Amino acid sequence: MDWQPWQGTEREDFFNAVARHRRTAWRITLVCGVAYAVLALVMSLLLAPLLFGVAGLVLDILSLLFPTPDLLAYAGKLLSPIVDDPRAVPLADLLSFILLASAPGLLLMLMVAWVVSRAIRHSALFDTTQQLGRPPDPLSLVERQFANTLEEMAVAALIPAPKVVIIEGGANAAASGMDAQQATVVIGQSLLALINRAQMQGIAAHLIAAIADNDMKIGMRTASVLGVFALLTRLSVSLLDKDSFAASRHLMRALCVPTAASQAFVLAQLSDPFIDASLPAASQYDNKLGWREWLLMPLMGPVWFSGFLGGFVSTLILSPGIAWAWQQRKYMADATAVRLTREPDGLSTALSVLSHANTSLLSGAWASHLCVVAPQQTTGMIISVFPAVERRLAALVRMGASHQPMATPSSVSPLWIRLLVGGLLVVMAGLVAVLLPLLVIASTMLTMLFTIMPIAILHALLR
Amino acid sequence: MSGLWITLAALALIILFFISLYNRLVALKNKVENAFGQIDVQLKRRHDLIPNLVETARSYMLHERTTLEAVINARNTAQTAGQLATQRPEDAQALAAMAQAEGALSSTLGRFFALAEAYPDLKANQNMMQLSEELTTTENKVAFARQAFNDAVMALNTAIQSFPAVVFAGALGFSQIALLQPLESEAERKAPVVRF
Repeated sequence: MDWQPWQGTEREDFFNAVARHRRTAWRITLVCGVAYAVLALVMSLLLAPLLFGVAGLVLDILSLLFPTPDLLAYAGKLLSPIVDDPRAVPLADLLSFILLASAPGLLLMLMVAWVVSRAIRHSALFDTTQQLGRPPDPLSLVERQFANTLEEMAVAALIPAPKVVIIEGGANAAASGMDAQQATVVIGQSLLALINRAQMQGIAAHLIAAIADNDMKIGMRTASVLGVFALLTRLSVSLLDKDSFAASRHLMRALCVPTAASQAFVLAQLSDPFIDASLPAASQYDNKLGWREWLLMPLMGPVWFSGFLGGFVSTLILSPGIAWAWQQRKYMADATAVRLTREPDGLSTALSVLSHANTSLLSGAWASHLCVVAPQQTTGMIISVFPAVERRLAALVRMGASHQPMATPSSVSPLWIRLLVGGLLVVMAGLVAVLLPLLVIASTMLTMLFTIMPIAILHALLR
Repeated sequence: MSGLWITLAALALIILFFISLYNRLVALKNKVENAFGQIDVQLKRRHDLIPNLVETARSYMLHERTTLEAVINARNTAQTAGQLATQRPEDAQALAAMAQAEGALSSTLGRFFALAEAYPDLKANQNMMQLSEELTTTENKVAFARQAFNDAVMALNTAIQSFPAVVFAGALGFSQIALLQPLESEAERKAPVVRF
């Protein structure tokens, strides 16, 4: 038999695979960074009338006691040439005005991001002291074996061995925690019965690779960005309903006061902002708008616009974008796993076995991206955070794994479904583009009504 | 005046370049030292597990006294060689002796486990199963620690040999490190001859 050398695309050295995926690791940071920057700029410009108005009124009140600068008159002087004839204003002046106007709003958005990321950091997903489950039973050989394989892979990756927790769940495992120094691996009970020691080593290698490659920190950053979008969408949706509007105060209070219960409430609210997540009986909130609700009315303009836009952008663009970029992290974890074990068959046979098992593990919308294989409860997503099993197996075959038979039909959607989804996305994007000017007009009118007019009246009275 | 600013900016960039190069090489070198320490930890763990293993097996493998004694002797030799190498890490002969002793211990353990297959009562013994798993994982950890060390050395050597670090690495005090050689002797690495 004549042995033929491998053709160009048939084989890939795992060092090259890891380096290739590492080069594309910037995608998630770019997607999140750009989305957050755009949202922050839009929000800060919309909040500028309110923030400057409040600051101006405070100075006006203080002017009754001692002389203070007239901030509102100064702002009006800067704004009037731009309002009268924007085209006559030099670009540099326009840009510096936008920067000045958005500065307080940007600071506020940074605080909002910090508060949301604090809530997420305190969730069971990232705060490993809250992990429910039991440690491996030293008398159970399989549990001891899995814990040992995790320690072996931690030695290979030169990171501390993660804590191991076993929970009642499907055949899946996930890495949780903030970073490699305080990581926990959560294992579903059913997984241990399905795989042998070599396959355990493959799964353990994938988990340790995800920890060593900093997937948890990136996951937290991603969850924070999605959380800020979800918060704004939640607030804007709540404006439509009196009960929800009053209940939003509960959300704002929970964000500011970080107790375990309040952070859990925040996460439940933010996991899907379009669903009215369970609140303490809504009837306990007064149906009438009290003075607190009227005080929040000036927020209606900015929040109305940015909330809806944020919701659309998050669902149609940001989430699919993040899911697409996160798939690279999964390929990278697989490639790093092969680098650690030098044995791709362990992981490939494990993926093949798990492809027709029940893989439901952690509940909660934020948890699925940390699992080894796609948990079955992740449905309704335009793009999955997990590449199709066939693609993962093909990548492992290129790195030297044996071909694995797939018992279930291909999980990759047929072409016509993908074209249909793509077409729907284009239609939705068109609708958003048409809706945008209407939202801008509505937001401007609400801002005029609830923010600029009351401030102008009060300013005239005080000065 | 603008010429002065440009010169200062260029100087600042050059300094930043050297700082980042030095920091990167330091991080890679520390990784190599961490990996070397890890090998030591796993080898010591293996030495500690073996007496328990022999005691558990002794009552079952009554006719394998020679093999059991060989395991204990190989373990003691490896432990002594390891202590000597730790006291004199700069002595290449001590390191070579340690590597040889560890290789001999690995092959003796391999013969022990092959023999233990013929004793089903011993294999079924709960204590033996756990000890066997602990030894398997320790052997694996020794292997992975050596692999991690070689990977860290490869990364450091690649960084030192790449341009522009290759011009400055010597002056900054960094030199290439040798990879670890396999534990087995030349004779053991030869494929066995099979005759029918």
